[in-house]
Amino acid sequence: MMTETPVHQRKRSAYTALGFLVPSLVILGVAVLVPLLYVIYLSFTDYSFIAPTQSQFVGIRNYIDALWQRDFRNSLWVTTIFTVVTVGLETILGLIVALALRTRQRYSRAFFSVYLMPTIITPISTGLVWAYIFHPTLGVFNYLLGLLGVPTRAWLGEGGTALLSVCLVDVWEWTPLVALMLYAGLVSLPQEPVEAAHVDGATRWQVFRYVTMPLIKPVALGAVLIRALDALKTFDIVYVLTSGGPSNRTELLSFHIYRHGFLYARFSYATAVSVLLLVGILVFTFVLARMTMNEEKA
Amino acid sequence: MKSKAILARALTTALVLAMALSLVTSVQAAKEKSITILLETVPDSEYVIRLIPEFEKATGIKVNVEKTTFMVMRDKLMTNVLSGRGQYDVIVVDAPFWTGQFVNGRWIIPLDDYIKETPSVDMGVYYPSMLDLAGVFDGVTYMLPFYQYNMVMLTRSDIVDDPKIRKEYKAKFGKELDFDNLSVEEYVQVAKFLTRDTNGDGKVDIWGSIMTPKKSDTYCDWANYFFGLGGDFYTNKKVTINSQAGVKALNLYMDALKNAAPAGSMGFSFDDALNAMAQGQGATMVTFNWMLGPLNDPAKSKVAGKLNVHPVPGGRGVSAGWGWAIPWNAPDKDAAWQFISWVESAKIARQRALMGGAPTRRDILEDPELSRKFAAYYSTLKKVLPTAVPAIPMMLEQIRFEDTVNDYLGAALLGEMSAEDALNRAAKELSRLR
Repeated sequence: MMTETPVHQRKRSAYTALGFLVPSLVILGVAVLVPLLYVIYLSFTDYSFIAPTQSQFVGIRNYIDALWQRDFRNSLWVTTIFTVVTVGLETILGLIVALALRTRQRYSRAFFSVYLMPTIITPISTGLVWAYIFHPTLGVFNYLLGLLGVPTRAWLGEGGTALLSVCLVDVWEWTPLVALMLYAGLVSLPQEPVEAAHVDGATRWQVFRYVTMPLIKPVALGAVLIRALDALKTFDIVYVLTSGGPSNRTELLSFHIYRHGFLYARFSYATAVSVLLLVGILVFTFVLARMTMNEEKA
Repeated sequence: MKSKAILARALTTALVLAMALSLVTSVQAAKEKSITILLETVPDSEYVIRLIPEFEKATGIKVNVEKTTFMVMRDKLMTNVLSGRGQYDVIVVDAPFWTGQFVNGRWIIPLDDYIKETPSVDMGVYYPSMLDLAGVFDGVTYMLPFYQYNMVMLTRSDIVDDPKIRKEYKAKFGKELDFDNLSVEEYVQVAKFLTRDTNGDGKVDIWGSIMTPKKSDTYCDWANYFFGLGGDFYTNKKVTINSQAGVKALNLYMDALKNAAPAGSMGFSFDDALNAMAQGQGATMVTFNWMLGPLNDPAKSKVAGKLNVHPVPGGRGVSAGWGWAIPWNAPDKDAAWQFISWVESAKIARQRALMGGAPTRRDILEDPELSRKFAAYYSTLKKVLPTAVPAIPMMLEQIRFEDTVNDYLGAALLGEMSAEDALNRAAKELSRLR
């Protein structure tokens, strides 16, 4: 009977591992890589639904078009504001909720089972409900403000309030998720540093600022990353609430892509903007992931 | 040997059975020939659906109707026409908003050969403006007009026919209140005049004009002012949205919005305007004529039975409508045409009109019974249909055209730029569109 040398054993286990990996890699390649490469290819052509067989290679024309287009620059700006405001508010409010619940863990399960409901509702339904809440004449928002003497406003139709209203809906929908993530992080923190700080005479604020915050930071950065990735791709609530208006004050990048790709049949331009959005998301993810890892190391 | 014979017999029997089964199936299939139609959930579609059993009985073709809202309809149609094997035999196309893409993209087929072979289809009965809108493009017929939703002016008879109001108007402006012959300037003046506090609580409770400046609905609302002042989007192939008529129309529109429309109107879409009018908040509204139906429904509207219909101010309003078409990838084009020629036959068109359908044919508008039944509405339509202007010029990038205009109108309404500046910028962008 021949015994296998260690080299042979290593080779055999490598082949076995490869055998298990190949199906996943093939599926991943077909499902992710092929469409992605096709989208990148289309972004360098003038492909349109109107004349799909006549598309030609146009180099970086679609990218130049996007960068020169007022609409695109506006959408980029609106998306940035939307992401910063919603993710910022969701993190702050989520942290407040999580901290408040940490000392009342007995109620947390019941609280979260109700509080998480907005997250479970489909965004289209959320949009429809809020469209009625914000309705200029029939909406409960104007009614309640009217009781306080605030005049009727078209919250979704006026330049100064439309984006803010859309942000508010997103914050209502996603703060519970951030709160849950931060709560999970908070309850799993070691208690020793907190107790040591108390023994050293630290105030509650000092414990929070110098002990809890640094410990919870990696979890918070993770929550920010997940929410920011989602916020950058938001489409549904804008589609239902404002269609990007008034003028194009609430036109997020994903809506801009939809408008040009599906409504104007400028598919190659839409793919170019999608690629730009993808690059932006990758850069953002890379920076935030590095920050999270550095925090964890520290 | 014996077993071979048994096997041969068994095989022969199986073959005969299979053939018989396939014959039965194909006969069954022929008997159950069916077509699928995509329709929007609007009253005119309902009138068609109610009559479909007649078609099924006469032809033996089963009709499957898929109903959907306007919001998702275009996406559904687009995915359908872009796929190799189509799902729908008959579709309806929103004209003029979608026609540029559907015709230029060859997503729908020419119908001229079918029309030639079908003597019962008479294209002469349609108003030429309806064929320009939802029928013939560059001499080729792609659609048969289904129904129109041209714009008209609705007024509240309990307000505008009130002798006190009429007397007050005459005393103030030195002339009779005549809604059938209002210029755009006069309309804005009348709208401001009718905006008032009727119950003496110090708050305005009746607004002179219910408007729809919310994005995507601004375009048609404003275009009535523009057309009514004699404006056109193109003159000799040059964009003329920024003409004197355009700037004046936008300034008058902003004046009406500020001084004669309910607070919060900036958020009003057509649906919101319909609600506001139904709740009795408005004295007048320039809108699509299909709104007359829901507004006259006592279950949904406080102003049912109190509405007059007039041509739009300035006499030239926005024309829009839907056309029947066959997608290039329809599974059964002949059966699809059979349905279209049936639904647009004189008999069925009349039955639809009797139920309240919006007519596109001259013979329907001149029908004595229908003219009696819908006297005010039909007499207004007779004035409106010949002069109505398609909302958007026929071009490939019609939707982009509409959005661009909407964006700049919105910028002016938000006070980001003057009317002149907004329209100049719009003109610059529109001149690049195909």
